[in-house]
This record gives sequence, C-alpha cells and structure tokens, in this order.
Amino acid sequence: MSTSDSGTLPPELQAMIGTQTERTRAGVVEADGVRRFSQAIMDPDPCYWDAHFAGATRYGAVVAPPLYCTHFGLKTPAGAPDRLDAAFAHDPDFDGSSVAMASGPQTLPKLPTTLVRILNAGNEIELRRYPSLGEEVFSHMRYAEITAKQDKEGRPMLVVAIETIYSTAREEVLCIVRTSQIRR
Amino acid sequence: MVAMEPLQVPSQRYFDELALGDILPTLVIGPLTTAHVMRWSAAIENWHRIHYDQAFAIYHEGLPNVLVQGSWKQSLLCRYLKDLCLPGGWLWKVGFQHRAMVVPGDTVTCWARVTGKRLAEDLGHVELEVGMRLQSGVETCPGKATLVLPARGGPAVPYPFVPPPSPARE
Repeated sequence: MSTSDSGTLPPELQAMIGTQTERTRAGVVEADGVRRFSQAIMDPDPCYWDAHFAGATRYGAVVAPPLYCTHFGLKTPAGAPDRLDAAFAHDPDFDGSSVAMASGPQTLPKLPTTLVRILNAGNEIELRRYPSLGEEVFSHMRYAEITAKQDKEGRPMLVVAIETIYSTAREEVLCIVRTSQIRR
Repeated sequence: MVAMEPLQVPSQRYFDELALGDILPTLVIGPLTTAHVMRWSAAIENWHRIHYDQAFAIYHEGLPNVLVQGSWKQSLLCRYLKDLCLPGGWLWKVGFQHRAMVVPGDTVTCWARVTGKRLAEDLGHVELEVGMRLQSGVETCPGKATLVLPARGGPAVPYPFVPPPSPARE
C-alpha cells in the first residue's frame, strides 16, 4: 500500500501517545502449559521440560518458549466468569474470537477517531529473557506511536503502534511485542 | 503425520562463519492436519472458530478450510530462529507480516538468509530476511530478524540479553 505522511495528527490523538494500561499479573509459568505449548510448536528442546539438562545451560532452570508468556491474556483464570459461555449466550453465532473476549485492565482506551476499520500491519518482537518455571509474568500495554498518513487515493489513515511489555515481578523486561495497526 | 527435518546445529554457530547471502538450514513441518491446528488452539486457549469449526470456517466465513493460526506461525518461526542460535546465541528481534493462509494439508518451510552483519560490544549481530514458505513456494510470513551470535574468541552473549547501548559498527 502506498502511503504518505499527512503530518496532521489531531491533538486528541497526539495526547493518546504514551497512554498505557495498568501493569497487572498476566500469569505464572506452569509445567503443563509449557508442555502443551512446546508440543504444539513441535519443539523437542529439553530446556522446556528436563530440569537436569536446563539447569546446566545458561538458563539455569526449565524455561518457557520464546512467546509463551504473550499468550497469557487468552486464558481464563480459575474462578473467573466463563467468558466463552457468556459470549455465546449473548450471540449464538459468536465466532469465538479471542479479541472480542478480551476485556479488563489490559484493554487500552479507544482512540478518538472515526477511522475504525483495523488491519494488522505486522508484529515486531524483542526478546530479553525466557521466564522460568514457576515465575510470575506481568504485562502492560501502551500506545507507542500514532502517525497520520494518507493512502494513495488521499484518504486519511492512521498507523498505530501498540506495545505490550512483559516483565517479571521485579520489573525485569522479558519481551516487548509491538503490533502495528492500520486504521482506515 | 508430521515429518520434521531436524536442524543440523550440533555446535555453536559463530558470527565469523556467516557471510552476506548465506542461506541458513531450514525447518520443514508438515503436512499439517486439523489435529495440529486444534492442538495449538487448545494450548493457548484461542477459541476462534475459524481454527477448528470447519463448517463455520467454510460456510459462515467463506474460507477454504479451517486456518492455521498466525500465532502458531510466529511461535514456530521464533522456535526456528532460537534453534539457529543455540546454544550460546540469542534471538533478539523478529518482525513479520501475515500473508497467505495456511490450511490443513500444507507443509511449511521456515527459512532465513543473511542480509547484514555488524559487531556491537564485540558481539556479532546478524540481520536476517526470514519467512515461512508453503509447498507451493508461496510466502506466508515474510519478515526480518536479528540474531546475536558470539564471535570466535569474543565474549559470551549475555543472558538475560542486554541490548547494546551504542550503535553497532560494520
């Protein structure tokens, strides 16, 4: 897609840059979750299950695969309301989309714009460390960048970069996921 | 049945050994089945019906079949790039786009090509063009990645990884 900078980001959108969610506990790294995840990507790496092997590596312990902690947001905690059941009760034709089920403190405020059609323009991931078995993972999201552009027909569009930062209880960054959205 | 072609990485890959244009070993997985797709949905608790409800995918969404998840593709690509670095390198950055659909019956090949090299803090930063090709040759997940590999005689790559404070030099 051919685009150009329009250079006219409205002040109400400019003010949203840097807006972030509360940093909350995303989950804890569990052996069975790591087993299912690593088996599903067909990764036989013993660092995900063999404490003796992993302990002799630089990790020093069993760890989770690179993007394991980025999927905590999809899981329904024990004792929480059944979001799936509630979604189908509201709409029997519900598509099961995880995005539609996301809610709570991990949701950024909506952008004040009439450009509501969203296209995923790609993901960038920066990795610092893999969380270890039993380690708690926290996360927060922020609007990292919002840029006003025009498509080749001169119609306005926005490029919105949303960062999700995953960290430990001591606020050590584990990984940063940057998702770019095009809003038209 | 999934046929996996294991990576040939019995020992550390060093920064010095790589040259611009080098094609790194591939990872081939497939043919994928609906069971593999469902296994990933269950593992991450993604209940989007286009990944396991074939009638919904075809008749409601107009898709050719249930779809292999983009999140599976990106996790597989990270697994591949992580393996290229073992045991002492680090997959620092990866970025990609989701293009062509992947469906049951497809076989995917993860690949990487060296496009840049530089030293930063005596660590070898290797820029890659990466992707995941279908058996037809169509690219489904084009992207870029940065691996940090040790140079021969150089320091070990720190873990946890610490991004370099200064611009890398050629």
